[in-house]
Amino acid sequence: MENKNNIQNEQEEIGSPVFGIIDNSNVFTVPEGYFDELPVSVLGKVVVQNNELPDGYFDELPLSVLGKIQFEAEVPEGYFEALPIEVLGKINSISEQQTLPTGYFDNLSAVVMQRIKADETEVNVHTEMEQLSATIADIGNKHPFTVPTGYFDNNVDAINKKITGKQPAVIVKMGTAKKILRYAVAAVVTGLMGLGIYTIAFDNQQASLNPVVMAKAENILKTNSIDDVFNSLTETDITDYMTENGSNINAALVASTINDEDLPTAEDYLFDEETLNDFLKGKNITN
Amino acid sequence: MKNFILAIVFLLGVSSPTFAQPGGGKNTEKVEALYVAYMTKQLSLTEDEAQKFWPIHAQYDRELKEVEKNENELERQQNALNVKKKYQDRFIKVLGADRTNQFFKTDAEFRKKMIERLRSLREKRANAPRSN
Repeated sequence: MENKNNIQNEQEEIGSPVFGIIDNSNVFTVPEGYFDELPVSVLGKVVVQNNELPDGYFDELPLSVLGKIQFEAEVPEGYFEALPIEVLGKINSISEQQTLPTGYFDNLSAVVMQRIKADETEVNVHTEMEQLSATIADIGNKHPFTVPTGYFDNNVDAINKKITGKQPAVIVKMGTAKKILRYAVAAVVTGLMGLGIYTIAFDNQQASLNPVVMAKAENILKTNSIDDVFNSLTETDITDYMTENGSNINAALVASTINDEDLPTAEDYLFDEETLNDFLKGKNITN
Repeated sequence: MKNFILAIVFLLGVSSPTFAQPGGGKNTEKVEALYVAYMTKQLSLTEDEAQKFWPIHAQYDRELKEVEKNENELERQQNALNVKKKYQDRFIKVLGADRTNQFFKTDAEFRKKMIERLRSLREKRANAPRSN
């Protein structure tokens, strides 16, 4: 609303009170329903005129037109034959009479420019503008909006301070090593989770059978090779197995060797104390 | 952070051999397979019986190994006997009383055979240089 008033005032100032007076409504109006009836009224007039034409009017029209043309445009005989010569003669006579001064075209542009400049001095753009609006003329070609020097340099920080009351956050860029480390940690954590699942599954498996052992056992039974496998066992095979099953191998060996038949007789014991040492040596239980 | 990762890598390194071999650090599969074959044959296990028996035996074996770690000899024997008695009923359900009794006998027999085999191997090794 204020703008509208301003514009009106300005227009009055410029010197066009008419525009100022005119309201901002559409100045061109037609009676209500004018365009609704327009086609009908136009057609009505057309039809009336058509009715007034005599029968066969258009059939005779070309002939009457031509007749009039012939009548009006009668030319003396041989007119067109003599026409070119006559025209050329006139052109020649004109060119003879009105020769351009020498160097006319050389000076033409300078003359034209001179005239333009003369016009400019008479009606200057600036004076024209002054006539229209003194305010705009005062501005001239200067930039009307200015800020103090360096205003925008500190502006962002100043605004941030006002908004948050804090200094702008310090941005610390992460190094490549830190990024890699981050991914490495993620991978390790994922791995640990997987390991956890594996361990749970594995705990359940421990109570179940070792499929490799069962397959080997089946093969031994199929090939009926219990004795062969037994005879192929090495010391390490047996000691590993026994240790795994919690046996004290040396104790077991002593127990197995102390067998009534192998024991020295009572007389041997009495013979001398070396007999027992020999016996034990023979059984090789001192590893 | 670096130390944390190192610790994890170290833990993984330590634990992985156990994952690699369910039976433990040593290769005992050959004797274990011989044991299964020997018991199956001595107890005349049918396929159906074997399918029920060996999973129970695996649990029995696991529990027995746990109690065998006990350093107190009498406690170890007592606990081992408890495990055996505990599983006796479960074995009977599959094998019947007679063959369960035979199982405990045959199990001890197998162990004895292993010890005898070990003794003979050591004797051979000990006597070999003398015979030359």
